[in-house]
Amino acid sequence: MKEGKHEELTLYYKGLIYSNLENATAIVTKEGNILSTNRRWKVMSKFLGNPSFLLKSNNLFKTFLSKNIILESDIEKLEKIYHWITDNKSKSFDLEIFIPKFGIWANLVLKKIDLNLVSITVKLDPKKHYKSFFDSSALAFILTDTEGNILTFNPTAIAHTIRFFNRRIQNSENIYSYILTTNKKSFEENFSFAKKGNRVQMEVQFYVDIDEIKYYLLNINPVSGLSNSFQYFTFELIDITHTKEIENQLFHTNLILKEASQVANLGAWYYDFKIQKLTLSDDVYRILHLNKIENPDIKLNFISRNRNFKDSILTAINECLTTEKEWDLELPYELQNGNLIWIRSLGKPIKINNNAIRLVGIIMEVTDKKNQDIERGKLINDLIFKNKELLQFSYILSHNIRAPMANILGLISVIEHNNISPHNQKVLELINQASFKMDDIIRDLGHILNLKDTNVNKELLQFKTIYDSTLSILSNKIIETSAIVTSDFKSEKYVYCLKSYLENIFYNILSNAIKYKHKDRILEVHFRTYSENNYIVLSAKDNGLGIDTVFFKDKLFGLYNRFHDHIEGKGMGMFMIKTQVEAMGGYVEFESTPNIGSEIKVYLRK
Amino acid sequence: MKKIALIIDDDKINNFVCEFLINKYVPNVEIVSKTSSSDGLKFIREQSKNISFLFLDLNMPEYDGWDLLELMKTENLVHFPIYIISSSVNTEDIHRSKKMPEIKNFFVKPLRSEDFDKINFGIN
Repeated sequence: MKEGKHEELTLYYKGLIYSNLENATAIVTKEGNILSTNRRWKVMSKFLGNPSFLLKSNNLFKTFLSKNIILESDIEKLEKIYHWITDNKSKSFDLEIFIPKFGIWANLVLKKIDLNLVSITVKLDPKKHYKSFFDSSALAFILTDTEGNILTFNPTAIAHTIRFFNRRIQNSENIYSYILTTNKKSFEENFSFAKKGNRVQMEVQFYVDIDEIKYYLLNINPVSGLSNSFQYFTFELIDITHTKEIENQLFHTNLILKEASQVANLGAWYYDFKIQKLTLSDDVYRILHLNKIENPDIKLNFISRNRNFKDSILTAINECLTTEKEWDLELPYELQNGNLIWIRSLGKPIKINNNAIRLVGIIMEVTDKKNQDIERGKLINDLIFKNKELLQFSYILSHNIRAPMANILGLISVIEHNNISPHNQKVLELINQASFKMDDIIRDLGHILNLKDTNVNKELLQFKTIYDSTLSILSNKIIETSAIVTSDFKSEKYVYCLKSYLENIFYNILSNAIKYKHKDRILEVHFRTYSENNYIVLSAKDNGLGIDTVFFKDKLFGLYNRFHDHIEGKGMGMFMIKTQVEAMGGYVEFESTPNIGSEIKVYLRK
Repeated sequence: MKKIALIIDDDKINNFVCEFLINKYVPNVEIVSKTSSSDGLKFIREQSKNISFLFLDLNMPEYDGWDLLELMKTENLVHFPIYIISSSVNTEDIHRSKKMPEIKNFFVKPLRSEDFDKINFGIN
C-alpha cells in the first residue's frame, strides 16, 4: 500500500471514528497496531491510567497481556476473533470482556473496515459490573416498584421461590404473593415505612415442608430514583434459620434453667482465683434475703448477721483450697425477721491442668426438707420407743397375764363337783364363762401384737383349702343357723400369704356373717376371688343385717366396736382382719346397706 | 417300779392342775414336780432312764425351757417324749418347738382333758 493513499484513508476513518461520540473507538491494523483513535478512546485510556499500548502506533495484543489489563482468556478470545475478521471469516463480532483492575465489564465491538483495517469500539458497562455481584450473591435480591411489582431478581431469588413455592419467580409478579399470611401484616407496615425512605428489617418464615420452617431476615431498602422519590425497592433475604434455631434452643434452655433454679430454690455462684472475683446469681441474693450488691467479696462480708453460717462456709472454702475437698453442708440461717431457714451449700474446685482456677457451687433453701428430717427423726425415735414398749407389753401379756388366766381356767377345770350347792354350781359356771371370754381377749391381743415381719412365713396357699377348714371349724354354727355358704375360687385359686392370717381372715368373715345374720331370712354367704391391679381380692357377700357404713365409717374397723347391741360379740373380728391384711401390705374395703347385706373385699398383694 | 411323769414349771398352780389331770388320765405313774430348771435338770440326770414323759414349761427364771432342752441334749439325757406346756400363745414358740423332734406336742395352758388323747405315754 502506498504511503499517500494510506494517509488519505486514515483521514477518512478518522472522521468516521470521531463522529462516534458515544463510544471509544480505535482503528487497528491487521497486525494489531493502533492506527488511530477518537477522543473517547483517549478519555478511556486516561481512565485506565494511560497505558502506552492504548496509544497510537502500539500493538494492542502484545501489550494487553503483560499489563494485566484484561484476563488472559479474554486476550486469547480477542486474538482469535481478530484473526477471524482479518481472515475474512467474519465481518464483525461482539465480545464481552472483564477488566479486573476496575471490576468493569466492557463490550468490545470489532468491525472489518477493509483488508487491512479493523475498528474496535469499547462500550464500558458499569451496570453489568454491579449485576454480577447480585447474581453471584448467596442472598436473594428482588427489585420492585412502589406497588411491589417485581422488576428483576437474582438466581438465588429464583432458587428460593422454587424451593419454598414450587415455582419460578417472574417479572411483573407481585412481591406480596411470596409473603405468607402470618407475615403479611408486619410486611405491609414495614413496606409502607420503607416507602417513606427508611431501610427496614423484619423476620419472615417460609415452609420447606409442612413441618420444616425456615427463618429469614428481610431487608427492604428504598432505591432513590431520579426525582428523589422512592420508586424502587430491593428486597434482600438472609437465611437466619440456624441462628434462629440456636436462639430458640438457648431461649428454652435458659427458660428451663431459670425455672429449675426457681423450683429448686437454687442459687449459683463461682469464684475466679485469677481475678479474685466472686460472682453470684440473682437467686443467691433472693434465697438469702439480701440486697444485691456490686462487688461481693469472698470473705462473705455481704452476709449480715449469721456469723456461724459465714464461718462454716469460710472454713469449707479454706479446706477446699488446701485439700481440694468438695463440701456439702446444711446450715441454719437467720432472716432479718428472726425466722430461721435452712440453707444447703455445695461447692467444689474446678481444675485445669491440675490447677484449681475456680470454686463453683450452689446454695438452696432446704428448710422444709430439714424440718421434715428433724420431724422424721423424732417420729422414728418415738416409734422405736413405742415398739419396744409394745414388745414388752406383748411379752407381759403372753406370760405374766396369760399365765394366771391359764391358772384360773385350769383350776376351774379340775373342780370336783360333788358336794357343791346348785347356787355355787351356777356361780362356778359363770366364773368359767367370764374366764373363757377374758382368755379369748388375751389371746387375740397377743395375735395383734405379734404382727411383725410378715414376709418370713408367707407361703403359697390354696383358697379352697383354707375355706374348707373354716367351714369345718364353724360347722356347728352353720348347721345351727342353716346358713348357705357358697364359694367360687376359679378366677384366683392361690395366694402367697401367711397361713394363720388367711385362716383368721376367713374365720372372722364367716363368723361375723353368722353373728350378724338377718333374723327374718336364711343367711347366704358367697365367697369369691378375682384379680384387680396388683392385688388378689377375696370378696364375701352376705344378705345379713348390714350396717350404715356412712354413719359408722370411723368405727367400722375399730377395736371392740360393735354395731348391733342385741348380738353377742367381742367386736374384734373386723379389727383383726384389717390389721392382719395391712400387715401383709393389703387393704380392706367394706360395703354395706342396712337390712340388705354386706360385702367385704380383702385386697391381698400378689 | 413305777415310771415317773415329770413336770418342770415354776408355776405351782399349773403343777397342781397337771398333777390332778395326770392322776386322772394316766395310770401307774409317779408324778414329780420341779419348780425350777436347775432342780429339774438335777432330777433328770439321776432318773433319766425312769422318766415316762416330761411336761416342760418355757418361761422360767434362771434358764428357761429352751435352755434346759439344749442342756439335756448335750448331756444326752433325752430318752423320753417331751411336751411343752406354755401360757404363751406366741406362734414363734410353737414354730420353734415344731422344728425339734424331741418335742412331741405343744399345749397351751391350761392343760385340758382332751390333750391327753394326743399324748403317747410309752407305758405298757
